[in-house]
Amino acid sequence: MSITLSINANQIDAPEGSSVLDVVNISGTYISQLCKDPDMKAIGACRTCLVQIEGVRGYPASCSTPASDGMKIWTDTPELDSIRRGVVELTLSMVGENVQDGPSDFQELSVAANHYNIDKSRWEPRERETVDDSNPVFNIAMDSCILCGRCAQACQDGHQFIGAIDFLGAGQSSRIGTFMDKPLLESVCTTCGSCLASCPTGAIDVKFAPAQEIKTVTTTCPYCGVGCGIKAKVDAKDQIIEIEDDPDNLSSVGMLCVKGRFGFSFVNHEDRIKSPLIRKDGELTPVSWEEAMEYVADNLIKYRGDAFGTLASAKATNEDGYIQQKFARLIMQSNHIDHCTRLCHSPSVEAMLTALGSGATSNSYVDYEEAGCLVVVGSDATSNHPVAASRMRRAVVERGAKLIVINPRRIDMCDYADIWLRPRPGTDVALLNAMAKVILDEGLADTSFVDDRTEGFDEWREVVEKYTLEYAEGITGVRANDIANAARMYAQPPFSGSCLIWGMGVTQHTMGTANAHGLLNLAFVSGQLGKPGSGISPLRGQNNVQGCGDAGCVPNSFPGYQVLSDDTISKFENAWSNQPLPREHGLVITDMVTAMDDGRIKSMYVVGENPLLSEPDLTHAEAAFKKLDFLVVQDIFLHETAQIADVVLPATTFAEKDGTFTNSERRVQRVRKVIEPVGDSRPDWGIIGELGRRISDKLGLELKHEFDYSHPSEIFDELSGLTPIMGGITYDRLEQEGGIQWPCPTSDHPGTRYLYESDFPRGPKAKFVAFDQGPAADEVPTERFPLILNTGRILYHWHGGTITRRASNLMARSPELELAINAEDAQKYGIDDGDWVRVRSRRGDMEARALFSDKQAPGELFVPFAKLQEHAANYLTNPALDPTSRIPEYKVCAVRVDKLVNGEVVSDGRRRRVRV
Amino acid sequence: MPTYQEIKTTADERWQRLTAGERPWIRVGTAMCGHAAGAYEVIDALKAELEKRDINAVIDEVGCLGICYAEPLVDILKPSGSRLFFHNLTPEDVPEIIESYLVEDTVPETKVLGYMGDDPIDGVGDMNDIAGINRQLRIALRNAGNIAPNDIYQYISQGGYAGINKALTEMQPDEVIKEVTDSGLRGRGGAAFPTGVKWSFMVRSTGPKYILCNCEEGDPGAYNDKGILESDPHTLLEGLMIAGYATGSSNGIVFIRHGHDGPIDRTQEAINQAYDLGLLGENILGTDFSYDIEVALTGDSYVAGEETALMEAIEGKRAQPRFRPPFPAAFGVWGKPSTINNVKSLSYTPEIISNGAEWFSSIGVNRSTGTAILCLNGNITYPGLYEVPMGLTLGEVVNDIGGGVPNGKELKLLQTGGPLGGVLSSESMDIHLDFDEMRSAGAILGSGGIIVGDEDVCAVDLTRILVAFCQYESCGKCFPCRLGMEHLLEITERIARCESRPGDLDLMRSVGGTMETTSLCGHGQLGFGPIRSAITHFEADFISHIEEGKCPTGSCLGPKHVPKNTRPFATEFVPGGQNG
Repeated sequence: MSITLSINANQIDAPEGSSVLDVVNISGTYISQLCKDPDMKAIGACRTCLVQIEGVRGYPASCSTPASDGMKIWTDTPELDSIRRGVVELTLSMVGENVQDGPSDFQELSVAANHYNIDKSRWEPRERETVDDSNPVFNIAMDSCILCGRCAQACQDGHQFIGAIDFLGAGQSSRIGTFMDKPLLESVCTTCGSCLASCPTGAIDVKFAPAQEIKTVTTTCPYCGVGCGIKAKVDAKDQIIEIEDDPDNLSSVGMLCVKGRFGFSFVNHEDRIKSPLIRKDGELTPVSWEEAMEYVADNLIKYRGDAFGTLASAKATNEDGYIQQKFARLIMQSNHIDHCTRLCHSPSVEAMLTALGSGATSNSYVDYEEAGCLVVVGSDATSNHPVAASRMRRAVVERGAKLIVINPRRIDMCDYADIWLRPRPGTDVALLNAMAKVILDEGLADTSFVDDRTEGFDEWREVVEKYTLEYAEGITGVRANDIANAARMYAQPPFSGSCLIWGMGVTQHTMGTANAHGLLNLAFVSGQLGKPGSGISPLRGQNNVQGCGDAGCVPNSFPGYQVLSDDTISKFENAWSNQPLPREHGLVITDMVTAMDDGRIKSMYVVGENPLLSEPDLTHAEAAFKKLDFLVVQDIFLHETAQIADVVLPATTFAEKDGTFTNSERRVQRVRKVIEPVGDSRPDWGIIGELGRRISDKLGLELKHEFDYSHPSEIFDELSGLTPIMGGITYDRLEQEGGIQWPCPTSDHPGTRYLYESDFPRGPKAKFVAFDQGPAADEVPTERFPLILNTGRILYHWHGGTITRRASNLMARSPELELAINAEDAQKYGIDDGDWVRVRSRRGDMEARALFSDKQAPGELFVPFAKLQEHAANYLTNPALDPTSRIPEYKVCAVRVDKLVNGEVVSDGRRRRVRV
Repeated sequence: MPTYQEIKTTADERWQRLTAGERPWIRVGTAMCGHAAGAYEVIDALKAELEKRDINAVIDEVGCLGICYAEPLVDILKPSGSRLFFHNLTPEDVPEIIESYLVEDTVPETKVLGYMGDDPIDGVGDMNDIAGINRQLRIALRNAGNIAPNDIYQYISQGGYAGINKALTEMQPDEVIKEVTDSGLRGRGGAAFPTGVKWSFMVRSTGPKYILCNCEEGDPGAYNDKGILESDPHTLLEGLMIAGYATGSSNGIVFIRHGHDGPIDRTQEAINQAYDLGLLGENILGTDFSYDIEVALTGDSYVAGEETALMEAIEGKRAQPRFRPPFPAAFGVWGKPSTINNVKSLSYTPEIISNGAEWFSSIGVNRSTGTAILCLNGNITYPGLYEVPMGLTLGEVVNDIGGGVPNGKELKLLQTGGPLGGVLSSESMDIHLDFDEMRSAGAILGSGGIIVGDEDVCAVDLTRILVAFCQYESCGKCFPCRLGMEHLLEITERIARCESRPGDLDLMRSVGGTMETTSLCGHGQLGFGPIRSAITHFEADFISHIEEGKCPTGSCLGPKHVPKNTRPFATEFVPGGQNG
């Protein structure tokens, strides 16, 4: 619907729901609008967008006046001009003496002043507050601030829901500042930069002004699985100088986090591998692409079949992944292909495949915003999926949704929670079963959903029957009443539905698959699935971990989760030049490490992964990799795994290639080439394609044409042609419509916001799968290793840190590995806040800075698994596996902690006797 | 759940015991006027003396009778007699009074103000002969100083909660709105908008609705809202309930400025008592009407009294105004339909419902019905809290009730309606207490504050104080108000220092005009009003500074009484974050 109104006697059409200011802007008429950010709600503070409207008294502010059909609006009468000049002139007095010579570059304020020909303010400038330069990335310079309030709005309700900055003081001492007037760095600021992006005068700006951009490319963020839209600005030297948010992106709706906005300098980092390297005389030596390709092809040929394994990259594009699995299966005749999901969400995927028949998030971020209750389990979304977390906070703050946090750590989301359940690590099954029993006992179950759409209910019910609240309280340490209230809230939210959102805290346990089933069972019994505002969401960690699996980089299925079967094997054999394909399921990554160790796998092709940082018990993993006959690593940096490789191939980053990523909500989004490849690097699809062609030639396979692509769009067309869930997605549609959520089977299908409305991929019924609580963890604290170490991520570093360690802005914010320790424990072991400590497990040790934190319960430590200053948590972690999904138990291992002075241990790490 | 009649019977019995029982009843004024004058020290002395002499008497803390100048004001009612009032008591006076009146049964020699009641006391004047008593017509403050605000039964014995009982049992909600509309009651918060009409905006919407009662009352020199809450909080609660019933609301929120401990505590206690008697909560007095009331506190911010800023503050945010539309009746606190009424406006409604619209509209003048509740202070002989019929002249208020300017000085000016009100000269004594007449005179009745200035007050100095207040209290959100106030202060300061520049008065008018037309809320829109009227009525004071380089009264040269910080509870703050 559109409305028609007149601006200065010109007829203008505008969408219904527009403000008068929107219509003025559509008309192309200039009007100053100092406090109105184009992408945010009106504030109504600057009072310079005033207009006159026929039949309306006075001079309403156009930003806050709804437009209606037939309105007659004037923007430039003499009275308006005089009034507006008065306000702009007053505003100029805010920015100090520069104005006396005509306003210099105060950005939008200068534009307004110039437009209205105001070169001087009659008012005395006043002394302003000092610059807050505490944040290493940007400054808040109050002498250029006009107090429009945009930054506070961006930081708070309505946008990021962080609340680090706001107006302080009143009258002429009004200013932008933090709680208790502390420096920004000491506030809850997450350096997301939304304030900076919305500042109209440049008062909040990066420390060093970036160079002039010559082009801007819209693409997709390379960090977590949220899939935010970014706009990369490039200078004349073909370097990325700035990243902006993309308000049109359907997943991020104009938000970014610190990594997305400021973590881009790794792309041009000097550590980038710029040419292929071959190990000669023990040293990795630069060679030509020709030499490297020949060398790799000649060697890989020797290991065709089960002796070959490959790891795909969840950071690379769908197209890269598709080509890699095609190469592994068709050329190398091996199904040993896997990717990092094994180390994060494989239990979720396994459980979902068993219970539902598909391993994806069922709903969308917009469902979080519409839900009546959100349950966030084992996920520190604020750190790991910041923009998704903002959308959760929006649900809580703006719509009054209930929030239940289940986490042994007191994560930041607890600040917004109605209920926080703090189970002992590894006791989730008991907790979830007890919640289910409450739902059953109190008649809160959705019986029609259970009857019509599930199976296995009775068997499951028998198992959960014994999880009384008292029994569960004994196991989990969570008060019975809290468990019951959480169950009630989830099963019957105050409005709309309930969403279950979970992360690694659920999966990275020996009970990982059981935990995931426990969550799915909760969703089934309360029918919180297959309707708006409900659903199940394993939050994906890597930008394209969803797409990597979708593209078939898993050992047991072809693209689109078409499980290896006679039918699907023939389908792909037919599609791929009628060559035979391997028929047995391949090995998962953790089992591949074992197979390397016992000599079954002799050659590995590792693309965009760093297993020697991400595997548990790194010492053991390193030994296994060193046994390989031939190791090829293809990546952007010479990381731990690359350093022991026989050949290293330089790949491009997301910024140097075209393709698609698929995010956590199944949205396929375009990745666009921003800059030319750095050095001699090439895109993954190009390198693998070339290898395919060479090996085909060498073996006389006549498969060269199967690897001959001129652009990723051709690969995508082949992928979508063979993958029914993506059959309707094309680059053309992505260009026109933005991201599209699969399933999208046909070209006229709009994509799917939520799954399972009427049935499930496995059939008409979902399946209850019962599990009992097993041992909480493989390893329990002992006198020698008395503490439990929990690993995870922090906001400023991403996974192993290979990338973020090379992003200067992020390093500035977080340069050291920080071990969070409860003050009570610290006192026991003689550790002070800020001490440098050594943490040891049965497998290895690491060093870190101890910081007191009450986020963990006494007896528990937390450390991010990023590698900083050569220290990494995975030297300590336990390779004990979940039997079903083969995920290692990253979340629990027994450790001791010792204070270090000058690099020497000064305590015995044992509990001291405390005299009472 | 007891019926209203059962509660009333209990209340009457208790009242009977108080007034005609065995024990004397001593009432001490402990509103903030009494409190400030030392009422609690007097109470301590009374208790000690009674104990010492083993006299069994009832001591009640009551509110303000209106004649604040006489505080601490204590009266003693002996069984079956009249109340005998003592003024300006100190603890030292207490033994003599107890000795003489309660032991020896003779009227003491000193500090006797008068008797109140049907039975004259020999040798003592009638309180009703005092202008500050007899010129008052107390409706909202009908019980103030007479009953203990912390005893719900005393309120009920005086006809309390009869209004809501009548509304619930005899009237439909639309009839209640009609009654209030017909009474001509206009909002006492300053804008004088008809209360019944305001309520009628709420009727259209369904779902949760809120009645918000505004007791921010940040005006220097205003204490009538606080006075009601301290003296008779139940009349407000009853008014809130009537408003709730009329508009179909489920909740009332009393919004009080942080730090006003007396009003906060007494209101909260009154709410608790009302719940205990079933006058709040589910199915009030056995009817279908359910209603909850709570107290919400704001930080120290004048603008928090602006209706949309108040809603932000209740939501726990910084008190800054919202733009309108949407208006509160459609999108109020928590986004739900809300009506904001001033304490005074709501406190009239129980009597309007009990006695009818016609009774109320017969009081007052023109379109200003009922009474005006005035806070009379400044250079005045008898400062106080006076509820008088609309239509009195300012002269009657200042001279008859207030006793004129003390110390033989001449009256120079009146500053009315708070810092956003206006300044009137001594020639305005014939203006009537009438919303519309006051407005056309360039001042407003506003919330009822009248500050009297004598001949020693310089209009420039007064202006500087007003501007400094408005500047400091500007919330900082909208540009014209924050910057306009800042620069107005800058100009006023230099005029006061006799360092003005040519064209300064025009510059003030110009920036004032910008503020009036463009500001987001009343603070900026009205803030120039008093300055404009000061310049209009006392141009000579300004000209003297500007052209002759001297302050006509010398007060600008004396110690500056410019409020640096009108927030007594705020910590000293240093710009630039050097506090930490």
